[in-house]
Parts: sequence; C-alpha cells; structure tokens
Amino acid sequence: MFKVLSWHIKDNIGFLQLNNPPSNQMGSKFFEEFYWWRTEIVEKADIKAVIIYGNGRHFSSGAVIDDLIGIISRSYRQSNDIKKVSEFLNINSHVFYSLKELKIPVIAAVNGVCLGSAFELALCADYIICGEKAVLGLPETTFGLMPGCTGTLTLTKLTSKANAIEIILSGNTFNPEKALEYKLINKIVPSKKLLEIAVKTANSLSKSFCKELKLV
Amino acid sequence: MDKSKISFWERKGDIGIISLSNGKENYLIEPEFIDLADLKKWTNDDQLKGIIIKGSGRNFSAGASLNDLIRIAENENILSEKISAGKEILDFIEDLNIPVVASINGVCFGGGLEIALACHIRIASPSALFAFPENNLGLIPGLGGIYRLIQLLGHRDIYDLILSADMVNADYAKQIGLIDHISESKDSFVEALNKIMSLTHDRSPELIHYVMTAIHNAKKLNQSEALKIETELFCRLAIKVKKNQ
Repeated sequence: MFKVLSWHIKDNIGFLQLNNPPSNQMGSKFFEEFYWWRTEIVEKADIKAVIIYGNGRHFSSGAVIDDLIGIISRSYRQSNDIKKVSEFLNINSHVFYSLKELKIPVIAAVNGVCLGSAFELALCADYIICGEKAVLGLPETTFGLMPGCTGTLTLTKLTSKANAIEIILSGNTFNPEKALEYKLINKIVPSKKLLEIAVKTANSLSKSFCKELKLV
Repeated sequence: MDKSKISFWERKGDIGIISLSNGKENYLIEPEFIDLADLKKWTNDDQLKGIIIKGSGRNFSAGASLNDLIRIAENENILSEKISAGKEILDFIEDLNIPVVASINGVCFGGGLEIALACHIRIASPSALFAFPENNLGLIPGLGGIYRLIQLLGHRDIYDLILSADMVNADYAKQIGLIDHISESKDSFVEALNKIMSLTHDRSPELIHYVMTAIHNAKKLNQSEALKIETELFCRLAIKVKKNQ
C-alpha cells in the first residue's frame, strides 16, 4: 500500500505519518500516495480528527526540487503548453487545500524542519502545533522558484500582506516564536510532548468542531 | 531627478524612490499628489524591483491642509473628481507587482496615512505619529483608507483611529499592526532601503513580479483561480531554472 506515508487509527484519531526518513522528503511518490489517501481513505475512515506528523526528528524538508523541475520541464518539452503542464501539477494544490473540505479537524504536529511544500501542507491544516525547535519557512525563492502548492494563498490569508511578501521574497527560515507572531501557527510545545499534546488537542477540538470553523 | 506635482522620483539602482515634497509638513495640496501618467511612466520598467515612498525632510506627510481642502471643496464636482483621481493613484500603487515600502518619519496624517496604507510594507521611525484628523473636521478618510484599514486591522482597532481622530505613536501603531517595523535609527529611510534591498537584490524582476502577483491574487481571486495561477507561475519559473542549469 503506502511506501512514503503511513496511516493508522487509534481511539478514533487518524494518524498520517510522513514516512520517508531521515527528512521525509516529498517526491512524486509522496504526492501520489497523498492523493490516494485524501481521495480514497480519509473520508471513509471512522475518525473524529486527523494528525499529520513526520517520522523521526523532522516533519519534512519539502519537495524534491530537482525531480519536480525535471518533471515540469519534460512535460513542457512534450506539450509546449504551460497551461497543460500546470493543470497536472495543480492537482497537488487542490488536494492539499481540500483538507479544508474535511468535516473533521486536521492538526499538523511539527517537529524539526518543515520547509517549502511541507510547510504549505501544514498551512492547509486547521491547527498547527510546533515543537520548540521547529524550523519553518518557504525557501523556494532562494533557488529561483516560488511556493507553488498553496503557500502564497494560505500565507496571505493567515498573516499580513507585508509578512507574506517578506517571508516569500526573503526565503528566510524562522522559528516557532516568529511563526506565532505572524499568526501562522497556534501553539508551541516541548518537542518531546508534541504528539501527546496533538492527541489532546485532537480530542478537545473534535468535541465541538463544525466545518464552518475552517478558514477557507 | 524627475518631478510630478509634489512628488520627486529618483532611481537608486533597481529601486525607485518617491519623495513627497511640499514645505515642512509635505502637505498634499490635492489628492493627486503625483500625476498618474508620470507614475505609470516611471514604473513601466522591467528592471525596477521595488519602490520606497518617503517624505522630504523630517515628516512623511501631514495630509491635506484645511485651506486647500476648503478651496477644492467649493466645487462639489471638482472635489469628487479629485478624490476619484487620488483613489486611482493609490489603487495603482497597491496593485504594483513590485514591493512598495513606506518609509515614515515624523507626522503621517490623513491623506499621508492613506498613502502609507496603500504601500505593502510600512517602516516608521520611533518618533513617527499617525492619525486620521478628518473627523475633527467632520470628515472621514476618503481615498480608500477606511477599507484598507479594515483589511489590515480588522474592525476592532479602527474606531479609535477614525472616529475619535486619536493620534497614535509608532509603538502603538506597531502593536495594532498599522505599521510593520520600527527603525532603530531616527531616520527610517536607511532601514527601508536595507529591507527592500534584502528582499530583492538576489531575485530576478520576473520572480518578484510572480510572487507579488500571487500574493495580490490571494486577496482578489477565489481560491481555485488563485491556486491555478500560482501553479502556473511556479511552472514558468521551474522551466527557467531547468534551462539555466
């Protein structure tokens, strides 16, 4: 079934683990499996909340950039049509953003690095809890790219335009304190207690959760 | 250096600098503090990566002077035309696809504050002062300032600023989110320039345009449309990166 994700349910909470250690990089396999999980699995599961987290010390270092630009360039050489190329890639954005269509709360539990597409995924969750040593950011512009998987949208909705511009154009990483100040995350906890607190949060949020609480 | 109405234009490398210049307080004689055609001409430049708007001397701008306002208001049609033209200028600035930083020293009142609010990032000196004195004259901010303020602060903090015409200092302005940074030095310009340089100097004009477009779209378009364009811009950059490898 899954190779770079793992999925289990405990006490009616679904745990989606990014499972490609050491840094849980997101290659094309990840995007395939995440699509499968979102469209075929999560809505059929008898759960009251979802927790997304990384295997080991890190949430995820984000997409495998070279793979991604390779795929895009090949596809562009074949079709010579940028709209077709991006239509295909746009599926990933819609699947990420569609976490907001779930009727249950989605919690991102973030330890270690959470960069690029991984941070974009976390920003699509309803609630972000960070371990105190987490490193967050959208570094795409430092390699001549930009966030391409919902980041420009979610960031601008959550924080001010000024912050969004500075975060994206500088590409600088930042710590959870700064993220809290930007209103991008909800809570900072000791790294060792991250999952325990995520479960508590899942329990308390799911008690009175309604779809209208999702920020769209 | 070029001049248009009360504004001067100057290039510092890839950055354009607009200085409001009219006496000590840089009063806006009319809402058109710059001629839109000139502004369009100056900014129609593929190599331009950012803009700073500042006041000449010690103040940003004290806004409209009462005398000028009364003079313009004598003819209702002219007043409404001038306000529309002023709005159009500020909308143009806000929609620019390069970052625009307001460097604010001293007073930043009324129309001056409305100009600052149309900028993307606001950096103020520690002694800067902000107010909408309009209500003292039985007026409200007329150049889109109320709308921008609600977008920026939500409804909670705007009543004091607009209805009671309270004057606030830089610390309070930072606290409520009216400004983004307070400079360490007395003159905010150095930090405004550093900020815009640090955001743009290693980035291509194209990349800057794409990022700004995507961020503007997040406020303007529905999510599906915004995401579609974001992915497309990303793909364009990816193809370019691959070519340069």
